Amino acid sequence: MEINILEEFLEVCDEKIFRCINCGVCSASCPISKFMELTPQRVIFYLINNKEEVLTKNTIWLCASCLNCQARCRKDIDFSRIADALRHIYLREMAKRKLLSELEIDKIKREVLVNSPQQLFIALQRKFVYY
Amino acid sequence: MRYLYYPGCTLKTTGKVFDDSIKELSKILEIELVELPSWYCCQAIYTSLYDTPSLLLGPIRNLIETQKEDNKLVTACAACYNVLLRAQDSYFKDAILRERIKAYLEEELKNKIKIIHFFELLEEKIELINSLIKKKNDYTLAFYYGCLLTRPKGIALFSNDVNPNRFEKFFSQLGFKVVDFAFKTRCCGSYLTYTVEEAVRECVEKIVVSIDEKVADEKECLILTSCPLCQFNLENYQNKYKIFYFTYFLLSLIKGE
Repeated sequence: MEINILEEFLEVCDEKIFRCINCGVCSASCPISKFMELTPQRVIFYLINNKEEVLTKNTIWLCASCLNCQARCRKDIDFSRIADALRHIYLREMAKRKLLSELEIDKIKREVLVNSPQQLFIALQRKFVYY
Repeated sequence: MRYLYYPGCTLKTTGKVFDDSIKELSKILEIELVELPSWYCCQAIYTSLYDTPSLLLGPIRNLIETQKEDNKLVTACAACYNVLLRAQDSYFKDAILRERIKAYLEEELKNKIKIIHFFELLEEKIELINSLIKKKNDYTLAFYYGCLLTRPKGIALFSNDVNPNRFEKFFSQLGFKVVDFAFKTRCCGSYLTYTVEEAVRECVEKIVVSIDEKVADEKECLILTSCPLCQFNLENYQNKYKIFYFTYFLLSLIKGE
């Protein structure tokens, strides 16, 4: 993947990433940062430094938009919107190669799929599938 | 009072208990809820990308449908509440985005619609509820807020996003023991239940541990919630505490079950 990630990002999202002072409050308050390859604060750092590897890390698929970091950020940055934008950039890039979905539906447990609320499943599709 | 009511997809299917209890409760409390005519999906999550304004069309169209009849809309599903609120907020705050959204629409959203959570209606009727409850049980209640009702800060129902306490106040006024636990606004893991199950397991475990610290007798404690997503995750990934929708709990108190 060879793209200018910073330029693409600024085109789709107006979140003020250059305000970030890399304090790490977002990573500390994230309930699932433990499972992330890059913590939220590192994602912003990669983005500002125009490193496109940020797209291949699992962080953008793990952010569930709970806004815990947004509520605590001293600089009023909403990380969930950054993750949203990065997901879309990735999906669009993949769509050019006819890969329309990041979702492996066979791997989802059947009992979870059947009993889960509709809202949850639609949210999943809206995040993982190109449209 | 007559209100327009937006149920959303989940309350019509897997969250049927929630919807039924809301309808029954509003009948008892003489709140007239009328379903919004031709409502449809709120689009489940809030996303705003500058070059794709169509991502916000769902919630905005629902609000336009509302403005034909009223300037208030009642919802109970936490996700619908959050999405409608945030979509409307960015529609009125961001002029460029608004112009782009308008290009898709036949009609305009003229004024802000007041989006009301069903709980706010109950708060107004607290005295009536208090007089209707026949038999008080001695359960301890732990109200789990989750993320959707408390954030983003400044917009959502509970303005104090770190330590909201409106539900606790409500139930202690009804004479219940309520516990105030640290992780009441922590994320339950949401849709990661499909992809990274361990993450949800850990989120739920932490919530349970933080309730444990405050509760003396586990058997006498119930978790209440107002979010179908939290309900699912907390029911699936722990079996220490029972979890109910708060409307269902209130209804069973009034019925004396």
